[in-house]
Amino acid sequence: MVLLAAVSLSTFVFTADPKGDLSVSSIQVFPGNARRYANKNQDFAFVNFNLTADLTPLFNWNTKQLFLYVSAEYENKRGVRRKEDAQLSVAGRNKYAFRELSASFKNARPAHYTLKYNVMPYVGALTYGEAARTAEPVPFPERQELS
Amino acid sequence: MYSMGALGMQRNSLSQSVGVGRRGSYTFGARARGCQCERDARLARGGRVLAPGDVSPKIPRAHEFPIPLASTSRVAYTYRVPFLSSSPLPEHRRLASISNTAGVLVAIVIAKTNAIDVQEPCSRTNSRRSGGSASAMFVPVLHGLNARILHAEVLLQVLNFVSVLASGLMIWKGLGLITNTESPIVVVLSGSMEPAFYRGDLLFLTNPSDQRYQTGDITVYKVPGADIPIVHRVLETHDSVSKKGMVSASPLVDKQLLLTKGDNNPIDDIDLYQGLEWLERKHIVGKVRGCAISVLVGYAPFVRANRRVHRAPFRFLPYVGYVTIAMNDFPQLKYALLGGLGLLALIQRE
Repeated sequence: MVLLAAVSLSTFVFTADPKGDLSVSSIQVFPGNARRYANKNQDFAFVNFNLTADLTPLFNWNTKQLFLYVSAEYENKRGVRRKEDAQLSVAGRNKYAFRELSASFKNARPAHYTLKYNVMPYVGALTYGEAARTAEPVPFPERQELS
Repeated sequence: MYSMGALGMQRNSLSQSVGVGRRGSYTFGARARGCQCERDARLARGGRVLAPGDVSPKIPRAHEFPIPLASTSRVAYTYRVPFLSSSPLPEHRRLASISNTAGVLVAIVIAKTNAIDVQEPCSRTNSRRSGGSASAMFVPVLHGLNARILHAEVLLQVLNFVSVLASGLMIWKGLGLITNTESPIVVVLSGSMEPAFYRGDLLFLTNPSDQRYQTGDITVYKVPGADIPIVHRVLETHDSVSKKGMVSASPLVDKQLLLTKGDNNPIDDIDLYQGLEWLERKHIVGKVRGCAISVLVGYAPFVRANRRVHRAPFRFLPYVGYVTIAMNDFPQLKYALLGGLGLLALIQRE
């Protein structure tokens, strides 16, 4: 028990703050149907991004997994939204559906894209951090119709 | 195991500091009964249980010795007859969330019942005071009859057992108050968060009421209508904004909607929400702050999946995690375990 406490305290000792670059190359917005209600129209955004980051300082003997995710933060007229795409591609698109609560990206202000990480140790406290952020907010394009 | 030894050492030092009086520390019980051996000898001779010269068990004077009732109490009590007529120790009517707490309580109870000592009859140089002194409180009222003394010892055992259970429950609930969740320590039951959390891992939760949840947080939530809480990561958050364009820090003021997904699942949790579109803060039990794994020992026999045989790492689950999982999978085990514990506590004498 004492050993476990000591190991978990060691998670606070390791402090690393790696930084990287994240850039969005293109965004496309397509209409589609919501997953649950097939009749409900929903806008889906597909974001292609490039990111480079060196996260090796985060790995120590107590690190079990490093969970990386790109998060989009933006506002629309009604509120603040934040979404997350998983993980680990250097140049890729979002893996999970990026959909908007109000079913349309029309009213959405430009979004900040950030690369965040979550260090999960074997024993101890989880730590979060932000590794990269797009320099300027990236606007959403108009909806493109599927041809 | 060494934690039990630590408790044992603690107990000894406590009793030594508490004991007063001549001959190290003798118990009132031993003196009043005049040692059962002598009385048995008297009975065998056909005499009465109490010889005329015996000191009849009278109400002890307060200054003679302190009688700690609980193992942690060091206050001197004066013996009062109303003790027996006053309300008994408050018994907790139910053990809440038994599947979560039972594992922790098992460890605490077994450690403590092994450490608690019962008085040894017939011993003048008895250096363990707590058991003997407590039972001595019963003796003046139940004097003279062996059967009643036996009942007193059984009663003492039950009392000890119940007090240990109660203290374990108090610790658990206190922890829940501090962390603002109903179960601050949970055990992972499924593999939907692998490779981060495997079955049997312990998770520590908090539920800060003044902070909003962010994407990437690992939350434990309970959908109304579902039996067990689910540990998944937040995929989306939607916060409502006040008219001034600001988001209040506390989620209680403006609502926050969440969507979750397990790391090892291909899709998000919409199907698990039982009709809900989004999770709200009220469904969330807590946010995972820390974890403790089960130790990887070796390799299990093969696990078949999709006609391909591949090895799966064998997890030697820690005591608490394994007990909780077993009790979740086999509910009868819960009752069997509790019954066995109760029996053990009653049977145990020394």
